[in-house]
Parts: sequence; C-alpha cells; structure tokens
Amino acid sequence: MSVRSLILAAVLAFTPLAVSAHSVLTASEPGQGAAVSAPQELSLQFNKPLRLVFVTLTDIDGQVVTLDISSFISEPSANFILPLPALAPGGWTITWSGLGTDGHAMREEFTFTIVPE
Amino acid sequence: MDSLPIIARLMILISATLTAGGGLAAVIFGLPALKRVQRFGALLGIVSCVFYFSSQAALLTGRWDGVFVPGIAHLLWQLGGGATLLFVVFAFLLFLFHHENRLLLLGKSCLLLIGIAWLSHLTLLQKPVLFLHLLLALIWAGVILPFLKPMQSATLAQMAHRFGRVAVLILPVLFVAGGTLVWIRTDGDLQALWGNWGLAMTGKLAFVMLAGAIGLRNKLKIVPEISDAYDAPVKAFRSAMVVDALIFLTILGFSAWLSNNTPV
Repeated sequence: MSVRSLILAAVLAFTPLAVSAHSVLTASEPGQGAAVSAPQELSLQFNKPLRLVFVTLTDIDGQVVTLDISSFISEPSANFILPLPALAPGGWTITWSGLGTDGHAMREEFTFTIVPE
Repeated sequence: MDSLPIIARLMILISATLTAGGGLAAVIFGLPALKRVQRFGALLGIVSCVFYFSSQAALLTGRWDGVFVPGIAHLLWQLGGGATLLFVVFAFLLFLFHHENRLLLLGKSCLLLIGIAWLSHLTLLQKPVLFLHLLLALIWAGVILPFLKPMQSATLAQMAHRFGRVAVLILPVLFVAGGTLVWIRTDGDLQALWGNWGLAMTGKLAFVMLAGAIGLRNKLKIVPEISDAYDAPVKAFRSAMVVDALIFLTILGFSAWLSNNTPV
C-alpha cells in the first residue's frame, strides 16, 4: 500500500461522515420542567433525524394517553410537531421512543406541568 | 429497561471473546483451541443476538414483551439491522462445529468480527476501524483462557513469550484504532468527553492501561522466570491471567455502555 493510499485511508477513517453518534433530543415544547396552560401541540427537536415510534403522556395517576404518530414512522425527521388532546391540569410525563437512521433504538422521558388557565 | 440493550451487547462481546478471541489466539500463537469454551460461546452468542433484538423492541415499546407488539419486530428487522444480526447468528453458529484447520478458524473469527462491526451504528467507512479495534482487542483477550489451561512450564513460557512479542505491536495499534473511534463518536468535538460518556471512556482507558501494565510485568518479570521451570512464576502468571480476565470483563462492560450511549 502506497503512502498516498495510507493517508487517504486515515483521512477517511477520521472524517466524521453522516451519522456516527446517536440522535439526541435538543429541545421540546413544552420543555422539561415547564409549567404551561392548555398546550395545543408537542414539539420535539433532535440533533439528528430519527423515526418516532411511540409518544405517550402519563399523568400523576398513571393514566396513559398515546399519541397517534403513524404518519411519522415511515420517514425520519429531526423535527416533529404532534397535536395534543385536551389534557387535565397537573403533572405529566412525556415518554418518546425512536429508531435512529443508524438503527439505534432510543427511549427517553421528561416532565412538565399543566396549570389551570 | 434502558439497560437491556447494554446487557445484550455485553453478552455478544463476551461470546465473541470466547469464540473469535479464542480462535484468533489459537491461530496466531498456537494456543490450544478450547472446543467446549467455543461451543459455549457460540450458544451464548446466538442467545445474545435474540436477546439483543428483543431488548431493542422492549426499549422502543417500554414493555418486556415489546417484540410481540404488532409492527415492532418488522420495523426493527428492516431498520434496526435485522439482516446483520442474522449474519452474526450465522457466524456464531459456525463455532458450534470445530475444525482443526487454522485457516478455517481464522475465517470464522474474522467473519464474526465483521458481523459485529457491521452491527455497530458507524458508517461504512468507519466500520473497518471498529473491526481492526475488535480484532486486536480480542486477540489480546482471547489468549487468557488457554493460558489458564494446565500445560507444561516450558510450553507456557514459549507461548507467553510469543504473545509478549506480538502484544508490543498490538497495544499501539489498539490505542490508535480506539482513539480514532473516540474521534468518530465525538465528531471530533473533544468537549463531549467532559460528560458521563467521557468519564466512562476514561474508566475504560484506565482498565486497558492496567491490563497493559500487567502484560508488561508478565513480559519483563514473570515469563523469563517461567523458562527456569520454577513453580512460583507459573502460579504468579496464572493469577495474573485471572486478574486479566476480570479486567477484560470490565472493559467489555464499559465498551457495551459506551456504544449504547452518546457523548453529550
């Protein structure tokens, strides 16, 4: 192998091509720990595209609301806006799971509070 | 639930060490190929792959029986590397059948490591770096179990000496390949090393250094004494191998955690 080939191989190996690290949730609305009144939609932003598989909301009594995300599973995206149903005031936990374009499965949750208007 | 894929990855890495690692050690250093250990590793590997697939489904659905949730198995099969996982299962399956032919053993070992590297979440051009890293790490780890098997002092000294010579070459390349992988995972942003991921990487590095130090002590102090056929150095060498085995298990644990998490 020539020196030129070795340098090329080294450069290719070190170059961060496409997705090498997993997707991470960078922002959401409502955000982690936020107190909001009657949110109409849930916005999730990731640093890298992924396919959302499940998004659920759980209240403090353990009642689960599963959001319909069937239209999002087929195509990966870095930004999702999901309509929310009418939610009762109180603490809620949002749990999302997704599959990165690299095939990595992820699951995370965060909480927010709905305050009476 | 979050730890299931990490446990599954750890099981796959342990299985790969017992099969491919042992195979590579047998081919390169002429160490005895431990048939039973390899068969056990192959079975554990196949179970681990099934567990890995199920753990991904469990993580996605938040349910232990997530793999049975309609659509999930199909989704994971298509997008979560189902075909690659099947390839890894096939490679593990080959270790159920023992061959004396060293070339076949080398081929089986490389096939398995290619499969595991392919299963990673790296890009096509980065997977060869992981393959090289796995190859060298498992050559190193693979020598431990055969060295624990009773053998004559002279043979043990000869093989340990042969490994000691190659280890000097393995270690620097292993560090370069490992460093490249860290660079890839962090996208060259070394600020990412200040978080939990960086802490785990430092922990892994510390254990690799410890294994290196034990290897150096074996090479410089213990192995030369074995050639004089004293009993005490053989015992010291075996004790060092047991410690090495525990260190490698810890390193594999760190590796499984690191590959499942993101530097933030």
